[in-house]
Amino acid sequence: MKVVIYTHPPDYVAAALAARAWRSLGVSPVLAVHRSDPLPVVEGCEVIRTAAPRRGNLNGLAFLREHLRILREHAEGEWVFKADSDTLCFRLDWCRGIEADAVGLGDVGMRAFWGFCYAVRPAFLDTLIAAADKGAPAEEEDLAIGLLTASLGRLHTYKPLTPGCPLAGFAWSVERSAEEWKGLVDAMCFQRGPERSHRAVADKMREFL
Amino acid sequence: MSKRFFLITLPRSGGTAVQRMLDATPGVACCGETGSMLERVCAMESVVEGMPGGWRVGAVPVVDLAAPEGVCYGVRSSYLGREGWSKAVARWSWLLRRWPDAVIVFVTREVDDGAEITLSMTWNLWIPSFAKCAGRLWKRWREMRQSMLDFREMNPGRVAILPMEKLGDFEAVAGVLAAVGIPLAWEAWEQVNASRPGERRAAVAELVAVEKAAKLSPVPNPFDGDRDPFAAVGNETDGSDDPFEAEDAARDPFPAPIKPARRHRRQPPRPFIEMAAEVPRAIVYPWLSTAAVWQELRHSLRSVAEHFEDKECPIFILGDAPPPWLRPGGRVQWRAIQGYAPERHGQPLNRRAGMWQATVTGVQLAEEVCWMNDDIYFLRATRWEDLRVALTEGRLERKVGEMLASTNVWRRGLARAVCDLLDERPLRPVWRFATHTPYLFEREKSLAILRTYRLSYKGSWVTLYHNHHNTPHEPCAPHKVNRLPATAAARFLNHSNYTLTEDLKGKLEALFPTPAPWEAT
Repeated sequence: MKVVIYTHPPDYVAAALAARAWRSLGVSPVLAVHRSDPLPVVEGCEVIRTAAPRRGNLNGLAFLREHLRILREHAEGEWVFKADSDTLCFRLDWCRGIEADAVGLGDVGMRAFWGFCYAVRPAFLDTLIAAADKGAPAEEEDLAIGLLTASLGRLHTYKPLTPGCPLAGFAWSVERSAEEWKGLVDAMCFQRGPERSHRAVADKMREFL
Repeated sequence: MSKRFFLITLPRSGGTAVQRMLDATPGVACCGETGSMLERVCAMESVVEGMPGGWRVGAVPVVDLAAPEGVCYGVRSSYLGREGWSKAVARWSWLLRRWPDAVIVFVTREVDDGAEITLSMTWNLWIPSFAKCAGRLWKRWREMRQSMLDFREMNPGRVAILPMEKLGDFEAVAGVLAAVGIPLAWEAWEQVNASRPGERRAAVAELVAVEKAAKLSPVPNPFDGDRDPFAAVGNETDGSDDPFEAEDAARDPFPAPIKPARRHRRQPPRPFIEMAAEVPRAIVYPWLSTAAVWQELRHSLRSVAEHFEDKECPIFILGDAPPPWLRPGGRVQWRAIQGYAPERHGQPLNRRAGMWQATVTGVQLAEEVCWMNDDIYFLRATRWEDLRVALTEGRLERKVGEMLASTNVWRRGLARAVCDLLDERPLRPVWRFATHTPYLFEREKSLAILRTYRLSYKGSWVTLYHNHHNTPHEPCAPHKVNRLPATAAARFLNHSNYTLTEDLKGKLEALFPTPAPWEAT
């Protein structure tokens, strides 16, 4: 199986750390770098170029279409994953045995689908590509894929901030050890914010590896 | 064994040493500094990327580093990767992609005062492009170092980090290199480790050689005009990514280049006569009667009588003549200093010689000496123990250039002391201990200074002594005042001839009205 990680220069180190975690699970990382960015060499990773504008945060119809084709090109095995540079995956239990066309974090009341870590069935990608060629229900790639899957196939989402939810964002203000976190969730996003630099995110991710 | 390696060295981090160690190892060849060669090759090969027909980087190699069979061949550069993270990762990734059998060895060093000092002392001579980099050099250096650490994180199997701090440990150096398939011979390491290229006098020789080479065959700036990567280049990182930003903002800008005419060449120490200590402790005043403008010495001594806890230790005045109010045979004794003594026309023979003689004599009179001056006054109770933490007013090493060029002889003497300290104990901060407050000198430590350094002028003694011996210190500011009434925290008053106004004289007379036991009149 493969995971596609979109990244850019400030996040190359984080992407390398994320890739290391995915490789430990037997998933081959593919780093997607925009053609305007320097082409990195990252150990154990296939690096590909993308052309569609990302419009700030993986937005836009052109990006969505290119992204789905990239997923199809690299689809092998049971799932093809998409993850962010700042996401560590500790286990694949969250998608094991799930009877759905896509699985990830989502909640109808909050946000239909989050894109920091999700999985899509390779067989379903043609359906998504055909739908995206006609149009997209949302600007954001993750939201578009979640809504399209929900309407055209079977979408399995974990509700955030609920007991047993295996996908979560790292809570910077909570005092908990890395081992405790890894016992609670299968994958975690270390989201950068106004108070947290790229370096702080990479340093924190390193503690979990 | 690796076939090829690239030695990318952080400036002033022992890169020359590593290159020589490797080049001297049998079966390994590593060329010296290649300057911008790799940059240019990368630029040439990258041109094809923009060409039509689906050409890609590496599709048409311009250069092939063909190494002889069985030789591990290395190319050294301290230029490739200086331009911020994006360009660094692009260049270094190009190396690994272009030569799939190659590895990279980064030579780094800790971000510390030593690194800053050596950069600030040499930047204008060894890298032409840094002449335009000025105060941002430090930030670029740290960025390059962090880029190296990050790139290794991305490619741990093909990239090694060799810290300068490990270069003196053969096992450590050989281990790092062996992990990426590069052998290192012990004999090669030992030979280079003994000579330490770049350190101390070798660093000075290196600077002179670079200067001479530049004069004989000037090398054009490889980063001309608007292709200069350091000329007003935008930041690669935003402020939140730079943990040193606040610290950098507080630093002084890098100094202007030192003009050759003002360079300092270290002189050997002067011979001197060693004398046995006469007493365990003493207070010493060097004093030139012809330089007195009022009765400063009298009132300074009254402050000693009132506030200095030790009421028994002798007090020596070393100078040209005893004060007229001094009662002979008492606690305060006058000793003649030949250099200060009037000669022929009533002028001191040689004021500098007098200063030298007073220093050599004064620091040996006792095992511990409290060094005073007639413009220093104690303002509250003081013990010998209170003087063991010296007082400082900032650092000096980055002001050497301007001080050497100063018209003030005191500042020039101080600058020479700083240069000698940097030569003797390189890469360590030099603190300004010449604060015009009481100093504590130990005889044995003083002898060590006399045997090591040549005194240039008054301010250099205390600078040499305390920096060389790493005396504990704290900022001077709350402890010294130059006017009265003093602040509550002030322990000493110091004035100059200009600030000794009539008002201050009156206040000193009021503060110390009582004649001391050693005053005859």
